[in-house]
Amino acid sequence: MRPLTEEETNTFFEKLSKYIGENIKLLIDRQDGSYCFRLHKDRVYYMSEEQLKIGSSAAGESLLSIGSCFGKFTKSGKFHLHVTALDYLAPYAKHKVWLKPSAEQQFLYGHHIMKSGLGRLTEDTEQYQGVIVYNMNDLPLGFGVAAKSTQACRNCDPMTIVVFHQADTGQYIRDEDTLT
Amino acid sequence: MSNSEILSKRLYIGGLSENVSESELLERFSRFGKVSNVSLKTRVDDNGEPLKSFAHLNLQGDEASIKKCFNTYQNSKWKGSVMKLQYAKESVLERLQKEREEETSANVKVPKPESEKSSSAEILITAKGVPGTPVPGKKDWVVGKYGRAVPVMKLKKSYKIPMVKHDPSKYCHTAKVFKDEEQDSAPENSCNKLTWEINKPDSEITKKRKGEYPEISKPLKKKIAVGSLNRSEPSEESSLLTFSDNLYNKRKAFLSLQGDQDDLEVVKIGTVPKRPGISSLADTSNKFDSDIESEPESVHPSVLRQQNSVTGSSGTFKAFKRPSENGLKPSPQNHTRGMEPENSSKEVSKPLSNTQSERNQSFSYNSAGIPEFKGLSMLAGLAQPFTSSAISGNKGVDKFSSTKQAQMPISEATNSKISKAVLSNDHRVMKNIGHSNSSLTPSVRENAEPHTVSFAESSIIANPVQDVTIATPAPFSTSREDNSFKTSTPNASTEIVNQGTAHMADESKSFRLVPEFKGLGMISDYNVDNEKDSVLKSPRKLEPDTAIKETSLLNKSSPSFHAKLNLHQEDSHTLSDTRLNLKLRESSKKRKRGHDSSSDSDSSAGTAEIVVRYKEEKLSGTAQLSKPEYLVKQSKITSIPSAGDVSVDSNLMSEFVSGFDEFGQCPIVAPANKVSEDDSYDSDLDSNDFALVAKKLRQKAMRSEQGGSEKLNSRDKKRKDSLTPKETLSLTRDTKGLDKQGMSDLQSKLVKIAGTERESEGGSGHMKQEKGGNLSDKEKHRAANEKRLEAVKQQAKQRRQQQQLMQQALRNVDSVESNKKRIVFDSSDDDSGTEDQNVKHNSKDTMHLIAEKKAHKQENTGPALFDSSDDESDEDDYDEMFKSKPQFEGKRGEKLLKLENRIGDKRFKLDAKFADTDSEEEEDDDKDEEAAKLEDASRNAMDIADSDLSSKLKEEKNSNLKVLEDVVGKSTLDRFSEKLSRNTKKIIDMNSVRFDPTKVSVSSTKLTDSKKRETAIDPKTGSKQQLREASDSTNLKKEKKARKKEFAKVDDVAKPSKVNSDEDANNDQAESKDHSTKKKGKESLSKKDEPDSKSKTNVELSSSLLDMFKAKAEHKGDKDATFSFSQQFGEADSDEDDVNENEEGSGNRLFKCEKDKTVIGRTEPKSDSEEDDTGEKKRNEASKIMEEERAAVVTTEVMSSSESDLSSDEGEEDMNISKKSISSSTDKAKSRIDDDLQDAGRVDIRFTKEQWLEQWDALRQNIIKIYKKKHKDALKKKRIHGETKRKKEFLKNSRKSSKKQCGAFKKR
Repeated sequence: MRPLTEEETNTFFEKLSKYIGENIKLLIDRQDGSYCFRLHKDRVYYMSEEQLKIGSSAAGESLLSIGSCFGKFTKSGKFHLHVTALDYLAPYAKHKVWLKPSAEQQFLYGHHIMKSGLGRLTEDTEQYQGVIVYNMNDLPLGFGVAAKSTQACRNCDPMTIVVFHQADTGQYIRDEDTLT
Repeated sequence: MSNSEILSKRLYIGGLSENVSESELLERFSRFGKVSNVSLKTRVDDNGEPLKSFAHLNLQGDEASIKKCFNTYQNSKWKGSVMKLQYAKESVLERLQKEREEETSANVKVPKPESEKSSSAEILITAKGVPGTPVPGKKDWVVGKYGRAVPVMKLKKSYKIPMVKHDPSKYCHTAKVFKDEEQDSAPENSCNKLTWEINKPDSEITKKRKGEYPEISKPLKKKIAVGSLNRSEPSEESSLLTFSDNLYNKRKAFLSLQGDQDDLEVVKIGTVPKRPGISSLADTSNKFDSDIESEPESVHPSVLRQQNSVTGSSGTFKAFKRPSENGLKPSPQNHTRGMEPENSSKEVSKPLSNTQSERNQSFSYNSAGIPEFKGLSMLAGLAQPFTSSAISGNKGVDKFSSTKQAQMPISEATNSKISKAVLSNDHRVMKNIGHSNSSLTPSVRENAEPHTVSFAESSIIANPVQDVTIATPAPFSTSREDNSFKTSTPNASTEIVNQGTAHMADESKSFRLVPEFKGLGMISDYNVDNEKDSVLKSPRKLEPDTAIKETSLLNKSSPSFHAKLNLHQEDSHTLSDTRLNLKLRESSKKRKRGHDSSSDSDSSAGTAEIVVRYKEEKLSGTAQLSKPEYLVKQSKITSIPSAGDVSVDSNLMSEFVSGFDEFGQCPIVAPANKVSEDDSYDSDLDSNDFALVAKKLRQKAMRSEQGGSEKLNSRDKKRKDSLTPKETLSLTRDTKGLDKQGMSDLQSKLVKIAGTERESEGGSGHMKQEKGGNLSDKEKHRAANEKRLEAVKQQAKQRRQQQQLMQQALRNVDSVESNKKRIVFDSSDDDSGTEDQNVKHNSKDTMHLIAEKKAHKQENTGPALFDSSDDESDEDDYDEMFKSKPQFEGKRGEKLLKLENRIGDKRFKLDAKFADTDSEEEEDDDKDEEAAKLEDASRNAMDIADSDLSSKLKEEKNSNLKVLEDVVGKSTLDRFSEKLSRNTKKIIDMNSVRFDPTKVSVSSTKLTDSKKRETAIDPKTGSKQQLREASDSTNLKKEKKARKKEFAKVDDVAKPSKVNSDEDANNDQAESKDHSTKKKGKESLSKKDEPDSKSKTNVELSSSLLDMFKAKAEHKGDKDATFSFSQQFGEADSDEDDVNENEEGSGNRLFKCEKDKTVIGRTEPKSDSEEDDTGEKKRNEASKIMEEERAAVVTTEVMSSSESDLSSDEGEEDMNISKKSISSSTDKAKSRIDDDLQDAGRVDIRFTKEQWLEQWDALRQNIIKIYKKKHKDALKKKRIHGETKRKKEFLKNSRKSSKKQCGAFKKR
């Protein structure tokens, strides 16, 4: 477990900023205590200082998870967000997508979101912008990447994919063994 | 010359020197012929030096001359080089030319040059043959598939085979030759036609995939469905469900019934009879829940409504569904009107009410909001406690009969009956139960009726024999069926009944039953007839729609009632059959009479009789029926007929033992038997104890055995009797309960009749009851209600009892187990006696066990011994313990001891060996020190690490923020943080904020930023200063007062306080214009302060004044708090409008506060004027207070606007100034009076006018100055704020609008 290097932080924040923009600051600079990101086994964990203290006493090998996992660095150095980060992304989401009830299940099974399943969409969403996916009751279901901009979405076919699926809460069940 | 022939030869001349030119060559060779086409060429070196040169030329001449030429010039030297001559090939150009010439010549010869040209191909194509045959005349060409000549290729391969012959004719014949026509026709097909579609209509999925979504029109459908049949079914079902819920979770069987009912619901009216019980239940449910679910009824379509009403009538009348049908027929208005749901429901309710009233006459049924169903509900409720038993019974039933459907209603009825009976037994429950009982019996009858109607169809229905009371065996039903088709007049039926009774007199029940049942069937028919009659009659009597029902109700109710009566009678009848006959006749006669007297027709009386018979039959039938039933159900009971009475006893006993659950009726049966035989009602009935019941049963059985010198038949009969009592029991219990209650003379009389054949009285009683019922409907209703409540209570009680029983049983089970366990594990300590007790049956084993255990004990003692030895050794050790040990002496010894102690293990002892080696110990010491140091260091390091961690984290955070800046961009981040800070200012979690009046500063600090905090504290300190000054001034006052009298002192203190309070009040009033509610609280607070201050008047002046100031300060502090409070909460307690405003913007809030200020400012002079009268000290105080108030205002300002820090400071300064001035003025105070001041009222003249004036002049200016300044500032601020706000808003709006425009533009 170690703090992220500058490069890692950069990639990580770049990825994160696609979803929550400058709200990352709220994650780093919190009023209710000091929180930090830590890299452990290629995974980035977000934890409080207390957790860090406790966790530092554990052997690196045996430490499975600490705090909440935001995602992992791939071997090629990219960063992948995990569903577990949803709790922190959802409240600060910049761009949101609301799903129709009919499309909820599809999304939760890991499918992309088609225009037919799109209930609402944040204005001014650009292409390949990270979006948080909600259902109509504003319950965060997951997140993804906008396949089309808001403008393009308006004119496209109902079967076209509007949001690429990245993570959904269904993964808690599907990927139970791999999620940390 | 033969050689004269001219030859043209191309000559090559090599070995020429560089200098030779073409002309020279031409000159030299022209001697031998005609030279032409000379070409001289020189090969040049890389450097450009000529290597060699050669020439070609055509020489035309004779052969000889050419030879001569050769001879002369071959190897001849020319210009220093040797010439060489050779014949050369023709020059390329020439040759080509020649060829062309040749061709042209050939063309001339062959007139078709083109054809010749393509001839090869043509030939090849036309040369059709088997593909693969070599093309003639051409090597390595073969004929392809389509007659084309295809070259055979020789391919070089890298490995093994060097060459591969590739014959394309074998591989590539796929090329198609398109003829011209085909090529022309091909483009005609458009691209669109190339794709094709299946003409099938798209499936939904494909449609969806295409993006075509079906229109959603569900809501509409729903609306439509409300009125449709489909809807009504579920509604009814739901009503049933609710019913079951309401009626204390009826059994699941009911639910299953519902399911069946659903199917049945759709069926037309004609088929209703099949499941009257169900329908009645459903109906009852509907009606019972009518208040809860009035909709279902309203929702029902007409057909359903009909059904409902039918079922309702049947349900209410219990027995006669057919009559009810009939009843419906004559009243088409029902349907017509019934189109309106309300009407229908009303109508339904009307007849019901009618029935109710009728019933009240006979049964004292209750009329309430949902009156008719109370009885039913009561039934259900009563049924509940016995659900367990019922269930058990049902189980048996299940075994016995193929379908639940038919049985369930019956079983229900029986259950309810039983329950009722029991209830009556325990609590002498009320008529209601009796009524319900009666009502139930009809329902039972109803159940029975279907058998008659649809026996042939449903053999299943024949089964519901299980109930003791109602059971109708298959054979009987058949007989009934046969008889039921006979149309019989009341007389006939009665006759038949009489017949049956006669048979009964014969005491051959097996035979008797048949005629009886005939009677039964007739009864049913008769009832139907009656109904019809009544329907016909009714219009005359009453309004058509209601009258019908009424009459029918009358009929029905009366029979049912009679039935009940007769049931009671029947009990007695079972005892003495011969008497019964007479009784019945007589009673029927009497009843007839009674009916005559009442408005009822004769027929009803007849029906009554019939019903009586019917009941009789039923009872008897059930008696017999019970036999087969039991045969199926329980082998024990089956053994009864065969084995004999003794066996019966045992069986019954075992049954009782086996449980109340298994055979719920049994316990009841026993008392019933007793009752029937011994005529001792009270004791038996009251006793709920099953054991007792069992005993009695046995006794009865014994008696029957003793008396049982009769034949098998008689025995059977007895058995029947013994069984029938079950029903009779319930009935008798009912009667008993009724008797005890003394509610109705009739029933008690009936009971008596059962005991002592008083028929006539019964008849009269019946009459009485009817009449009485007419008279006191309401009373009865009330009584019924009470009873119902009681019944519910009882039910609960019983349930509790059952639970207790269960618990006890379970506890016993547990205890037994525990005992067993003890045998196994615990016995070692116990005596063998207990073991023997426990394990009596296998004594050997126990012995074995004991032996083993003893051995165990010995083994166990092993360690104990060891322990004891230890103890001994310990004792020995005592000496050692107190021995002085050399190794523990001295400092080091101490350490050693410590070490030893630290180890703690007794076995490990440090002896003298450890004591020596001082150096080592020293080393150890050193080591210890080092270790301690290390530890300290590590600890320090840890601490440092901890402290470092946070610092590191901070660093990390900073670095992270930097990175973030890079990522997001600094400007955006800055903007964001700015925004954040703004937001944090704005958004305060009001839940976390709590107003504590005792800690004003806290509240203020909580609510404001750190900057503001300072300013907020400032006024406080200011107030403290004030206090100090006040104390000074009080000293001065003291001096003054010292000259005055004591009483004056007291007055002084008291009055000022009063005045102060007055001032406060004034101020408050002024302020309360803005927030009245808030201020009220404050006023109360101030008033609270008053007594405090007053009480303090007795104390020394200065201190009291000081206290007062303090109190005031506190009070003011409160005010501050409230101010801040009110501001923070948007003055929620004041006007709602204000609240809204404040919520909308802080600017408004500020404005509000401004207002307050202005108000205060306005009020201030007034208060001052008042103060003038009060006197110097008071003035002092007042001014102080004013200052404080001002301070409060200042603080409020501070709270309200973040920019008001400066102003508050200013305010403070001002305050100080004013204070100073005040103090000075007090020093100079002299008496003077002004008229104006006197006008102010409330004048307490203690100081001269002059004094006041002086002071006032000094003060006033100051005050006015201060306030003006404040006001100005505030106004300024407000203006500024407003402007900024407006600006912001404008900017926002403009931005928004521009955005919108942009968006619109983009869209375009």
